[in-house]
Amino acid sequence: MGRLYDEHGASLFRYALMLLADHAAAEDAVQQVFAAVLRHAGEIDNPPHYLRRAVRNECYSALRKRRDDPPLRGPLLEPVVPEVVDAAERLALEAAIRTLPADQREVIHLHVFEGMTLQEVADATDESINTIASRYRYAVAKLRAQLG
Amino acid sequence: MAEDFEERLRRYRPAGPAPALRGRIVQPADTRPAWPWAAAAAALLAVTVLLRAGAASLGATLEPPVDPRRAAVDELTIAMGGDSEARVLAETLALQEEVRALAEPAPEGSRR
Repeated sequence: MGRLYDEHGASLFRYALMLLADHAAAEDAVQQVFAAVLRHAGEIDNPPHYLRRAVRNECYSALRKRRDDPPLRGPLLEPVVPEVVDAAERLALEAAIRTLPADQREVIHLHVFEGMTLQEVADATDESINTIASRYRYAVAKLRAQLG
Repeated sequence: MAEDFEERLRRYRPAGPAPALRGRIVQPADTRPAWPWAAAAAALLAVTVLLRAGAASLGATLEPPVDPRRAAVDELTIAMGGDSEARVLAETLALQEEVRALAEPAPEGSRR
């Protein structure tokens, strides 16, 4: 379990964080998924694929139960190069990203932060490429409007 | 353009998890048996043997355990992780076994 977490835990948490925009909820989602892996260890053929799918399902399940936008607990973003820090820009980006619906945040995350092509995002989310492209366009347009 | 905007975004990435999350996920998995109930069932057998060995020790020439119940609970506690929660569960399981033993009809030739 330790090795599995070390290999995939951080990326799964980042995925959950972008979907849920809440640190505590993202931690809970990831913990729930790893607990399920422990219970069904012998039945899972492809743990990385299972983990990603399970985190996604757990997050959307949490979103369906959520009534209001939770207050953001913990930072949403961190600089890739710690020495180059523009706190104001980071905060502005975070605030803008939080205004996006979860499915648009997901596309931004998978395409921009994880480097997937839009087709790969479509495959990973079981959506059509047109839907993904549309979500991405709307997300970028909304972010630009927020950030200027 | 979108690509310029992406470059701007890519100066950041989603924040990573707190170090404590690893402990929450890994420690419960590592310190407890993957199949706690199978381990508990095996330990229950040990509890039963020890409790009945203590009850049948009258006239035994070998020195009986000082407190067979305590030894059985200790063994069960260790099997289930060794922490306080495991001890509480071990006490509960031992009590359940005692109740079950009292409810079963006594074997022929033995007395309670």
